[in-house]
Amino acid sequence: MKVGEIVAAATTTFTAQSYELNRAPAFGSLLRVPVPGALGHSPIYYALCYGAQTGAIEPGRHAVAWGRVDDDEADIYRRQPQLSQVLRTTFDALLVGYSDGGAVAQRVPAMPPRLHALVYEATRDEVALFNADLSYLRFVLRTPLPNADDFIAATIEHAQRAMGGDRAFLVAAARTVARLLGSEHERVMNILELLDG
Amino acid sequence: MAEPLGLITRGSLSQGLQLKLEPGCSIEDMRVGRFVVIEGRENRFFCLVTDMELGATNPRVLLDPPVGNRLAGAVLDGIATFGQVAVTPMLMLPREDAAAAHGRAADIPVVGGVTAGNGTGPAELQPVRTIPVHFSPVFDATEEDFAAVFGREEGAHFAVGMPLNMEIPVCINLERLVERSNGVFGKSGTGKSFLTRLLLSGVICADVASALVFDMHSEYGWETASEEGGGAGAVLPGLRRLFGTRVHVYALDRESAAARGVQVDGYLDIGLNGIEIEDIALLQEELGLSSAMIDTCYILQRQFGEAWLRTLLETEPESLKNMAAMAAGHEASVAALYRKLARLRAYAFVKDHLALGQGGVDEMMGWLERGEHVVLEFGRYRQPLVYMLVANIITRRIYAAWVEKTERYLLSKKAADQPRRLVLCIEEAHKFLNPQAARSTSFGTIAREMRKYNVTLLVVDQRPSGIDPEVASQLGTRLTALLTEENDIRAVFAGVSGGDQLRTVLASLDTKKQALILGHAVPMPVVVRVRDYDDAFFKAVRPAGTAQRPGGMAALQEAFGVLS
Repeated sequence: MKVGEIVAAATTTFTAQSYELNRAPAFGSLLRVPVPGALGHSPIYYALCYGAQTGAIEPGRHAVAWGRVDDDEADIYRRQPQLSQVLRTTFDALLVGYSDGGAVAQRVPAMPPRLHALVYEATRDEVALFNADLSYLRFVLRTPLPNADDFIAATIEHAQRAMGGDRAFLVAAARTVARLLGSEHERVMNILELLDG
Repeated sequence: MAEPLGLITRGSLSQGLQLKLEPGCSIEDMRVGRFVVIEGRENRFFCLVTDMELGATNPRVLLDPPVGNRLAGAVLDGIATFGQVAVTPMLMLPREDAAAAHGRAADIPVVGGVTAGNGTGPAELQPVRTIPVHFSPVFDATEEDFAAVFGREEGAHFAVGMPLNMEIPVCINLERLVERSNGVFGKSGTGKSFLTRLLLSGVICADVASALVFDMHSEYGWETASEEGGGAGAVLPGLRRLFGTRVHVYALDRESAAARGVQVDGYLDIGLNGIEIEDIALLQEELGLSSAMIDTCYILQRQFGEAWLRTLLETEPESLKNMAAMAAGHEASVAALYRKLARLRAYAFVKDHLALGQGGVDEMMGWLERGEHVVLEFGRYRQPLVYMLVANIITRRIYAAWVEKTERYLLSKKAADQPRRLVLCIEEAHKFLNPQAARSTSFGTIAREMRKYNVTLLVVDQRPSGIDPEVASQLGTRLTALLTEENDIRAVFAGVSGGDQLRTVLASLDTKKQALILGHAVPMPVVVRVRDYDDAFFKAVRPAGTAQRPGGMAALQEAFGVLS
């Protein structure tokens, strides 16, 4: 399912604007960005959504409240139809791998994705295939991100759901995290608490 | 392809190795005494599990245990918390093809697939001279591994039991067993008698030696009460009933034997002239004799000759004074001696005088020389006093006879002259082999020297700490059931290298039916669940179609050709 269009790109991250206001891919979900390439091969970039924000398109402008006391939320949008033109939702994603027609490589791609490339949600099969190898977690854990522990937990849970709630996967992923975080016991326990709930 | 139990992470040759358990293996499944195999790069190491401990990578996880979290248990096992098992390598087997093994070791090889020389067994095994590389995988031993180390069940390899966690036989080498003196130890009630009976059955069945059993509780010869269920009066057959007329039962107590309906081949009597001062010295503690009294015996012997004891005991108490004067001995000593030794005369089997060849000892020795076996039942006479006296007298005769035979053989070098290998089975050995007695009695001499003369002891005891340490260190094979006294445990491991690590193993045995075997007859120490003394066993050891020869007197006539 198409979810957005890239509006800023860098080596390890990109930002995309969502096609639908107030909607963004789930925190921790896997995204795919097909890259049209030459010579008949079309690599796909994989990224994890780590944040989303909604605000005014114009920099510097802030959203203000438009509603009256007895309005519903729907009433606000009806009365102020320009809102959908001046506001936008964007989401940020962390590039975690790519596939070049064959197997998935869990490394930072050589080139960032192009502006205006289309972003899709990864299918269940793609999620399952990507998570057959958990070494991407090592990169994710090392990258300084806001809400890092929640992000890891969300990523693992999202993957587990795509794999039909496989508990063995959950345990294996949690073990990988525990092993990678080694001596950071509080972080490990924090993540385990999030996963257990 | 089996999963490894864990990987070797640290250790040394002198202190043993440690393995970190794989996450899938629970430390609660581990047992001390378990036989495991380390697949090193160039060698396979056969080891015993000797200790285990819990470890954690981060002390914080111990300060704040994750009890509320269901996921944490499965996740942290092997990562933040882990089990560490200490294993002691006992034997080493170089791989046939080190190069191929290197490739195989890298991807966790199939266990048991490589045995040098295709399982020709102990000849290829070596003592441990090195240690495996880091992260060598460790596996449970398989049937092939047991067969490679202990041999298959055939010939002189006798199955004594099964490993803790498998249903395959563990064998001891009976020929090596009877080359040295051995000990069967364990607290009372741990099954020493059953283990002894098993060993004796094996020795008889494989015919590696003749056995003479000094049967204090009359449980080896004819039958014994079963300790299992099966109702009151359930009995297990003794050696005589299992092996027929190859085993000869002699009784010291005619009445008791008759009352129990035992098929007896002869009776044993001893004469006062057969009791030597050495025998009395052995009974010092039992009779409460002082060394002054022993000296008095020598004085009396010098004065009255061979029949001194009879003369003493036939003297009227009033005339003892004169006797003392005649022999220039101390009157009080003589009187005390008389009082204490008078007990001996009261026994029904003690005769005033027996001529050479009378009494049954020569018959017994005859059977042993011919390669058959003798059980001497003590009936009601199971007091240590009688046991030690009779056993020492007989042993002294045997000692003399076998030394003579051996010397004759050394001169003639004819195979026919070689004296038959003999095993003397004695119970309550700590009374015979305590430091004082060991120095002066035939038993001590036998324990120390007699394997040169083809006579060895099989001592059965619950207090090995009472045995003279020098003698204890000469015991070739020790079969131990549970022992709890620190002294006893130390005594069992006297003279055995690496005994420290086996202590935990010994203390962890079940109270019944389990034993630790170490020493000459086994290539490496092993813990076994002792084989059951049941119908399956009887069928296995009873030779097919035991010829039913006439027993008792008729057998004697047949053997010796004359009526005695």
